[in-house]
Amino acid sequence: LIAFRWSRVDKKNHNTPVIKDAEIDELAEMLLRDYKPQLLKEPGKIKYEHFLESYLGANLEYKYIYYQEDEERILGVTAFNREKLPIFDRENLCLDEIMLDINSVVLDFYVTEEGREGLELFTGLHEGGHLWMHPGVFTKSEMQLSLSTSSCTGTSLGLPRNVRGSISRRIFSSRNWKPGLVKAINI
Amino acid sequence: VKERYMRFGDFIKKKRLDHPDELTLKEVSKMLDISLSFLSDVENNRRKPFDKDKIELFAEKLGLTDEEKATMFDLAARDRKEVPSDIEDIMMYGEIGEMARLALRKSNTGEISEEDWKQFIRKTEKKHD
Repeated sequence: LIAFRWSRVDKKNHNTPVIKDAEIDELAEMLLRDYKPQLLKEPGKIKYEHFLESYLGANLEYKYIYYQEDEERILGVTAFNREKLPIFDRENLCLDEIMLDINSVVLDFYVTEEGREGLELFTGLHEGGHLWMHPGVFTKSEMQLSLSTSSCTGTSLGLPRNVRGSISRRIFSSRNWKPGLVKAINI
Repeated sequence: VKERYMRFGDFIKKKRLDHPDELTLKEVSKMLDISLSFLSDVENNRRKPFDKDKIELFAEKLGLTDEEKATMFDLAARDRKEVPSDIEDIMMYGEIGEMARLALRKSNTGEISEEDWKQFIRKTEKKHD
């Protein structure tokens, strides 16, 4: 796995890397060359699950991710630290919490429904992008974990579900793509 | 961590990820006819390990060796705490336990008979007379 290094960061936003669309393309190509170089010669579908689990070392899970009624639903979450994620428990029809391991990617079952294969692939790889590029922004050291009591320090990132895709457009049409535009969930 | 000391969920996840077909959670859940959510929870050790039938099916579908399948049974029993606690250490973590499990499996396949066990017990009793 190639380590992510980036010098242009937003110091006012936890040193979030500031990356242009074209640079994202270059980074994606660099990763693909390392992961499966043959895909650059003969384009084919990426099995996002394998890329996340075997290449990025993610702990992939599927859940009904909890959202409040006045919030937009969440398609995927990336956790950089061990922390709790609120979920809907469909079997017992109640709310629950699960403890996520570090480097977990959780996809909402919504994206796995029939006919949403493209959205599932997009969301899986989108979360993979967070996992690769943003540990420096969100990972807390053991010392920080024990000292930090603020509930405002979101260390998981979630992509809001928006059927019309307005939020996705807002993210991907910007010249400089910043994770700050992605809704962070504080848990 | 050696496979025989893993949690059940970690073991089956490793076998899935090590498989040459790059098996996904979804594919394996379909193979085993269980929900994606259930498999995901078992892999993350949030739910109890599979029962006997699912262990057999998992081993068959993923082409595990007899030794790997036996390890799955052992790990499942350990996670379910089905081995009595007074013999858990020797049964699950010691060399004697390993031999005992081998002998029990040989009994299952008929290589060791009930009479063999009786003779063994008589022999140990004689030894302590």
